[in-house]
Amino acid sequence: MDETADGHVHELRRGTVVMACLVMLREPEYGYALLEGLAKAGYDVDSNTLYPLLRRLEKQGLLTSEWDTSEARPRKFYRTSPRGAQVQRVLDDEWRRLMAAWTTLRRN
Amino acid sequence: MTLTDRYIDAVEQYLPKADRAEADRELQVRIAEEIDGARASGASDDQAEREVLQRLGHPASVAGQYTADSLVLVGPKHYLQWRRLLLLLWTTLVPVITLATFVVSYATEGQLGSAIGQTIGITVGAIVTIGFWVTASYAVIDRAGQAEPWTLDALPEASDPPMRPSDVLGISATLVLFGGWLIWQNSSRLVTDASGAGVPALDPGLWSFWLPYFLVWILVMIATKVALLRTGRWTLPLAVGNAVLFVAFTVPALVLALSDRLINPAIVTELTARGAQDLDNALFLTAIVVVLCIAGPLLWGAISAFRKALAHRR
Repeated sequence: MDETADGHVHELRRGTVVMACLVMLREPEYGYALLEGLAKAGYDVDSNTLYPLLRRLEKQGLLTSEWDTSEARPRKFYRTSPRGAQVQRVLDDEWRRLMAAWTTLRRN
Repeated sequence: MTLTDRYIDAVEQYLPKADRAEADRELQVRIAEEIDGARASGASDDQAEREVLQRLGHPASVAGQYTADSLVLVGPKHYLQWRRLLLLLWTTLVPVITLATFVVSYATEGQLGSAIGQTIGITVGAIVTIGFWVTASYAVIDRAGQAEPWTLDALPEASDPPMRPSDVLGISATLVLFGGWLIWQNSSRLVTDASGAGVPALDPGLWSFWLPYFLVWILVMIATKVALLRTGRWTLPLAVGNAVLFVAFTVPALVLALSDRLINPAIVTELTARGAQDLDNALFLTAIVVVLCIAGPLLWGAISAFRKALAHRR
C-alpha cells in the first residue's frame, strides 16, 4: 500500500482506537495485556501510541488506574470510569450513525 | 545499573523536576511489561530488553510524552507571523546598519580593511540580536494564551493610490524649499568673516556644476511626482525613472560628501576662529549622515516602486 493510503488508514484507526480501549477496559487490564487483546481483535496498535493514549484518557477522567502491589513487580491496571462508560456510549451511538450514513452514501 | 535504569535516567534528563517521579514510575512499569511480552515471544532477557528500549526510541522523544510543557518554541498559531516579521526586519534594518557602519567607519578612519572588518562584525551582531529579540518576543506571545480574536475590521485597506494632489503639493513644497536653501545659503549672511562678507555653508566651488545639477534633479523629481499623479499608479517606466533619480542623487552626493567637498572650508575656518572645536570632523560626518538620510527613503521608494509596478503587470 502506498504512503497516502497508509496515512488515511492510520487516521481511520486512530479515530476509533479510543472506542476500542474504552470497551475493552470495562474489565480492568494492564497496558501490555490490552495491547495484546487489541492485536488479537485485529487492532494493530503501536506501544508508542497506546501507552501515551492511556495516560491521556486517564487525565481526561475516562479511565481510572490502580497499582497492584501484590506481586514482586508493581503493575498499573487501567479501567473505564463511569464517565468513560458514558463517553463510550456516546461514541457507540455516533459510530452507528456514521455506519448508517456511509451505507446510504455507498448505495447512491 | 541496568540498561533500563540508564535509559530511564536519560529520559529524565529532559524533564522538569516536577515530572520526573511520575515518569520514572510509568516507564518502569511500561518497559517491564513490554519486556515480558518480548520474552514470551521467545527472546532472551537481554535481547528483549534491548529490543524494547530500541523500539522506544530517543529518550528525548519519550520524554515529550511525560510532560505537559509545550514542545514547540513558536507554535503554528504564530509561526508565520514570527517568520514574516523576522525576515522583514532582517531585510530592511540589517542592510541599513551595514551600509551606515561601513560608510562611517571608512569615512572616519580611512582604512578599507578595518572598515570591512568592523562592518562584518556589526552586521553579524545585528542579525543575531534582531533574531533573538523577535524570537523571544513571539515565544512569549505564543504562550500568552487567548488574545483578542481577529475580526474582519482588522483587515488592512487596499493600497491607496501612491500619489494624491495633496501629496504632490507637500513633496514639491519640500523640494522647492530644499532648492531654495541651496540657492539662498550662497549669499547668506548668517556667518560673516572679518571683512563683513557672508560665508556660505556649502563650498562655493560647487556652483560651477554640482549645485545647478542638484537643482535640475529637484525639478525632475517634482515632474516624476506629477506624472505619478496622472497615471495613478507605478508603471515600469516611472519605476525605472525613480531608480535612476535615486542613483543620480546618491552617487554624486555621497562622493562629494566622502571627499569632503560639500562643506565650505571658509566656514570651518571662520567658526573655528570663534571657538568651535573639532568642527571639521563633525561637519564632515554630518554631511555624510544628511546625504544618507535623503538617500535612504529614496532607495526605499525606488525598490517599492518597482515592486508595485511589477505586481501590476500580472
